[in-house]
Amino acid sequence: MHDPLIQLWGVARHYTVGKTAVAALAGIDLGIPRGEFTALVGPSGSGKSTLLNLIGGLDRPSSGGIRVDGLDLDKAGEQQLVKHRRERVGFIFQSFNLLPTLTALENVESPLVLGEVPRSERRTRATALLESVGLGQRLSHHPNELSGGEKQRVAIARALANKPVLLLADEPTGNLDTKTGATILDLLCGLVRKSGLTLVMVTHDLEVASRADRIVHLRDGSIQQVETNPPVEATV
Amino acid sequence: MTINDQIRTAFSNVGRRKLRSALASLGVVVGTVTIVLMVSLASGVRRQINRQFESIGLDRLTVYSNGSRRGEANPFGFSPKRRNVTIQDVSRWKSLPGVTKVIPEINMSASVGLELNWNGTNQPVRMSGDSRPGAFFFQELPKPVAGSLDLPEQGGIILSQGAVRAAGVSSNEFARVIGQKVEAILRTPRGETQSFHLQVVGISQERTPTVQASLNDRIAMKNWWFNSTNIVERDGYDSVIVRAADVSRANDLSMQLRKEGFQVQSMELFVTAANRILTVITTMFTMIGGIALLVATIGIANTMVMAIYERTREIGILKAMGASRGEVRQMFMLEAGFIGMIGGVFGLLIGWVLGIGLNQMIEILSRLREQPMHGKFFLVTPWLALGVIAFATFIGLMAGLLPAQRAASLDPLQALRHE
Repeated sequence: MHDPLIQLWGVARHYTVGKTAVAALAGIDLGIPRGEFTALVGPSGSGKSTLLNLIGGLDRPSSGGIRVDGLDLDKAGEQQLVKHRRERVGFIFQSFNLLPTLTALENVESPLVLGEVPRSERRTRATALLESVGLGQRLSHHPNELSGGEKQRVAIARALANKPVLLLADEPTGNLDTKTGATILDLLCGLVRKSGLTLVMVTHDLEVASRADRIVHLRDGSIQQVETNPPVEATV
Repeated sequence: MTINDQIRTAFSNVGRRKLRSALASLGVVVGTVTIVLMVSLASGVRRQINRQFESIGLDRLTVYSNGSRRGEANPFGFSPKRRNVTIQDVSRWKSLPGVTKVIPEINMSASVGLELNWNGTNQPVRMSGDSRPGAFFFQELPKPVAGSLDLPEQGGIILSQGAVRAAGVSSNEFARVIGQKVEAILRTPRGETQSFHLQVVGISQERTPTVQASLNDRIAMKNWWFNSTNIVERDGYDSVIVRAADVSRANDLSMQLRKEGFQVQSMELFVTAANRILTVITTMFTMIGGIALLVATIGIANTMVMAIYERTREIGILKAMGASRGEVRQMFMLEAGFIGMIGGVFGLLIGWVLGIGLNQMIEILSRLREQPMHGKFFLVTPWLALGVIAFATFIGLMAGLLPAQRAASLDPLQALRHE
């Protein structure tokens, strides 16, 4: 049994819209083991993206505790959250969120620039990552010269650049056609299986979720059900 | 993020929007050109003045008898008591410590009738007075056309090239004139005359017919003219040049002699006064340039606010990847600093080229007016060049301060949702 990489207890997140408080999450208790693919599913407004952002250190809970890889995010200072995002987490977004003025290679390099990795090493590592996602021929292309699937591959390579322990993906196949979406999903699943990364993915697509080791169903900010899939045997 | 990467990123971001960056830096260019022109003019003129005085000698004092005489205006106001510079004063000063040279001067009024009898001609000439300091501001120091301009104590004469030409000597024969004997004749209105036989030591550039005779001959001429046995005993010397060993000794001497009741002009005073005036003028114009630069900050700040609005999502992405507030702030501040620096560099270049053009114009105009003035009046010193670029960069950084702070404090989630 893996030790939980992510632990949440009693996590709540309220937003104030005008004068009324809206509860995005209420009383979440959850443990996510290391090296597993967890899918967060639920209708829109169920709080799945909020939960993902809390785990990624982009947001803070209103109450409750979150511990990721030994760091208590709810108590962490600004600099610790920055370090958490920089070193432990790789984000993958539905709308890719590539930097439009940079080439594919430069996009993948950008987290390494923030991590103060030496120039030559950055280039080698970013090139290798792009090759590993099948974009070895597309290094100097700008995002607007790439297809949706290629953009998401660049985004995945970028998310992996700083060798994170945790990949957080928010509807990574949401903007892609079914076929491209399937290959992206294969790529992500392969990463979990091969390199032991922990993947937490937000999706409303139950077919996508069925690939996960663990499916967390959310509704109105609460966990309704946690399903575990029988672990797929690793094939060598 | 290393500072190198920050600089590289900022630079490429500025380069991405060339037109906008150029327009934003235009204000800085205008301000910088103003400052460069004004400060370079001031330092050019300052250098000219200092060089002029240095060649005359900052260690030189000119001592005058105090008080007015025969309608001569006293530039420093009137003193009730007259203190003559006597022969005794001169010999006393010669023995003072730190005095290297004491040169007494006797001037002859232009109303004295003087004729030059030489080379078969007889022409009226004027005895040129001693040139008071400042008389040849920005002009070249007098140089001999032939021979030397150093007169012996007695028996020597310097002719102006005007006087030599008037006697029918062409310029290629000037060298032949040196060493020749000439007869200078004083003639009173009643027709009495007195001859002085003098030897030519040099020819000056002066185009009007003037001569300059040795001191003792001038004394003798003045004695005869005023029918006096010893005019120096009675009236003292007109002026005495005292050369000190160094500038600080010259300052001490000028204070001491002033206390004794003499009127003293020292180069140091001129230089100090000229520099003080220049400093005031420079400061004023630099402030005008500074105001232009302050206005330029508004342009840069506006550009940065727009850029940050457009790149809000980008800021969100950077923050999600682990960019800290400080890094985001520095990134935008550096961009603003670069816009300022680019403006500063172009302003410096334009100001520098304008200065060179103006220098040429002054040189050409001064040559047309037969007052050759050499040297640069607009002088861009390395300090000015560095200082003005540094200042323009600083202005840019300041302009970027608030917008960058705003970018840094953006909430990453809201920034990511920005369309």
